[in-house]
Amino acid sequence: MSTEERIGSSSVATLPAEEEAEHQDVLEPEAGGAAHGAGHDIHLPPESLWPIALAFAITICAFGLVTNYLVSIPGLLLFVVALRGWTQELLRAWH
Amino acid sequence: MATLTTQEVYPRLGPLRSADGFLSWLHTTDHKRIGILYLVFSGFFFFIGGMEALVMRLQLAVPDNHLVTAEVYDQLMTMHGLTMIFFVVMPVLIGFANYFVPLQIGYRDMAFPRLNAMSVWLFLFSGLFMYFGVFEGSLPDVGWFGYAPLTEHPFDQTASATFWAAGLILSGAGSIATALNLIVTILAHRCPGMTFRKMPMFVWMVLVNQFLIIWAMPFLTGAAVMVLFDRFFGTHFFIGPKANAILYQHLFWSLGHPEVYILILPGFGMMSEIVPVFSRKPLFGYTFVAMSGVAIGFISFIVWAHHMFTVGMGVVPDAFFAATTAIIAIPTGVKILNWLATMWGGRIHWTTSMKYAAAFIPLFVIGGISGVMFSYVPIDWQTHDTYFVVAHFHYVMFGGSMFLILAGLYYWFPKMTGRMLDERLGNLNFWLIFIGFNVTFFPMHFLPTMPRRVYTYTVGSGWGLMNMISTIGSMILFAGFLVLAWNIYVSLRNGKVAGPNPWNAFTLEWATPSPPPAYNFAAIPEVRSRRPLWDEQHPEAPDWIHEDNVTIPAGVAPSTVAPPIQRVGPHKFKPSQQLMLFFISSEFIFFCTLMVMYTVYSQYFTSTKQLNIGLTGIFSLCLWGSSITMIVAERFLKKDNRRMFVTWLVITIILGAIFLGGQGHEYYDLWSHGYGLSTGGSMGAKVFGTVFFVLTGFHGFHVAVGLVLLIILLFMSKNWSAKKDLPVTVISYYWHFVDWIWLLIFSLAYLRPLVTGH
Repeated sequence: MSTEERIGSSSVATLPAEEEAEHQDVLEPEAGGAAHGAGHDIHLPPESLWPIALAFAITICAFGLVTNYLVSIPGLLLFVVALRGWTQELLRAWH
Repeated sequence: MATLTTQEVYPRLGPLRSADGFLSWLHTTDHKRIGILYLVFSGFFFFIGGMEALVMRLQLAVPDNHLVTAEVYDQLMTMHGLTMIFFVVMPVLIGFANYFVPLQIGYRDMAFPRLNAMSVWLFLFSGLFMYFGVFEGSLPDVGWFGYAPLTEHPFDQTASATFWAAGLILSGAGSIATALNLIVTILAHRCPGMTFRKMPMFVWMVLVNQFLIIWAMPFLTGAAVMVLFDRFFGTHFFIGPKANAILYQHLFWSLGHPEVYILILPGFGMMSEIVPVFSRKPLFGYTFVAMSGVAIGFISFIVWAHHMFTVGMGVVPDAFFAATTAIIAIPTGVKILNWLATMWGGRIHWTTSMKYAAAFIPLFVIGGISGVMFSYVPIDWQTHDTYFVVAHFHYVMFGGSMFLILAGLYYWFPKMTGRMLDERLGNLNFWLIFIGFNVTFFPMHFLPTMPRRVYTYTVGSGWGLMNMISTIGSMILFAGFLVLAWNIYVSLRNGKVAGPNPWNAFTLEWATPSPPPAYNFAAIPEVRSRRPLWDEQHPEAPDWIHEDNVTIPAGVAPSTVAPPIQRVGPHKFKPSQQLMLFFISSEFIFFCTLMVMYTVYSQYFTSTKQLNIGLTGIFSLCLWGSSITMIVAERFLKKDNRRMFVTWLVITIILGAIFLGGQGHEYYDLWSHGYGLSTGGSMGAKVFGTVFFVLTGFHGFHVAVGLVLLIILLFMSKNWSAKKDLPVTVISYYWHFVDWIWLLIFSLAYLRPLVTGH
């Protein structure tokens, strides 16, 4: 699910070096297509299932309040798993 | 300057039809597709909220009607309000912002695409969550503001108020996440040349709006948390002899009134895009429009208690809030004059979008003026909770926000789908909605004695005629929206192909193909003025001449003397640092809410002698010390001394853990002396337990989260180096915040009694 989406070579773009340095960020390393070095393709954020998983996990946790506390347990587990997956994805892209 | 405008034309729906099908929407991080998801989901909720309104209108059509019971009516009116505010207007505006802010500032996506995706799903799930109450016995039936103690157990035996409170917290979390994202996107990622003075007005208003969201939402979160504690742990916030329902109202409206502006400000921005384009003139008084938006943002935080004049707050608060409420009309009026002046002398193109924008002005002025009437306290006393108020806020929310949303939909639909919406159907759709809206809501002005939120009325009341007219109007309105739905359907299938810039508009989103490719711009554009596309089309008279007061020597082409592109940035803080700092500002408001709560209830304490100031003081020193050791750890990381970094990080973690352990010890001590979350000897002791454990407990929880983050940093320490220290920096901000907010809490809970005596 973290296949990095690249657009075709027909629309190659480069950014000035200083701007590129500014865009290097940990939380969303590829956001906005900061090219990693002059002449490379535009990088777009990879698609990811972790955001929807995390949102779902939070909602399931809340369901525990209105039904039974036991319902929150799978929610919490999914929360941890999704957060871990998300972080791993960020780190992979950052390095 | 490179050419901005593209010649590419996408004949088909492009991003709407992804190669890997429907499921690809689930894992998309593209801001355009997320924007469309926002619009589609809110369209779904709009259908539900609209149906609820129709059933209510049918119920009220004739006196003594029993189409629905009083209980069902309560649920309908509560869910109609909640749905329209939190699950329709707010997310529609956020959806437009999602789609168009990155395009208008010349960027490729939002600053944090994954966070963006999470926000949209949280919005959908929180809406569904709230409606799930229908399977658990009852939908929320406490009014959209859920006044305490209606939300407390004795008055609400089903789980409906829990759905209300938890649903609002969930949707608030999603809104805050997306608001932070938009703020950072706008602050950090504008294209070269786009300084604050050159930003499109929509971006300006969205920016102001996101600050309202991150600083107003925590009040509601705080209030909803207290309601949940009352319901689940038997605390004594809003029920019992020392309950303070007025505090709830203050907290609710501290969100509730900024919320009103949250629902209209991006609309003001859309208005400021649409009117100039269809009047073929630049926006009149750009600075005034931007700054009046900022002024509205500030003032909106000090008007909340005008919702509470009938509470009996006293002359001074009444006078203060009456004055601020009257004052906020001034920056709003400034904007109206600016739009009129923009139209004045322009060649107006009466497209459907422009019709909606033009109709917005008189409708919003009607709603605005009845709003100013309520700032006069005696008028408010007379009309409070009547249909005159219902007329007022529907003129503002429907005549205002909804008309602007429809104007924006007709304006931007071609960009989003590559197809024009049909103008003939659009015309029909406009007139049906315009007439239907006025027939529905204008008669309500003539019902200033009819109480709102009551499911029926008697024959003798004389309210029957106006109610019948209103119900007929709502049917016309319904027909209008059916035409809109039909228009969207046929235009998506066979609409005229739009091309990149069908309106000959001026801002950067129109420099891309329609719909834009995933990467938005092949090359990041550069701008010199507020209307880059105008400059490109009119090299002989570009906007920067007047914007920057450039004198062009006679016989010289302007392009040869163009000023250099102004740099945007470099920014002192990286986007993720900005994200954390703004998040902390939002957290700060949340803690302020809890501290206000503590202060209010502390008048009921009999004694705080049970608190061991000396011992807690020592544990507090550990916490504050851990802030310093964290700085030392960061210093060593900067020098690439990873061993010392790890050592000091471990010391930080130990100090934090000592504080938490100390708090645990203190809790145990209090508990063994009979103080609990909801228990205690006297009522004063019970109240103490309630507010003390909630305030310090939430802080303790934040410390625990901070500790977990630090431990994660520790385990991943091989990843960090002098060059790669951003995660450490970002998490250290959070750690410093939880350390130093404790200084305020410690002063309030432990030191203040030394001065006040109890």
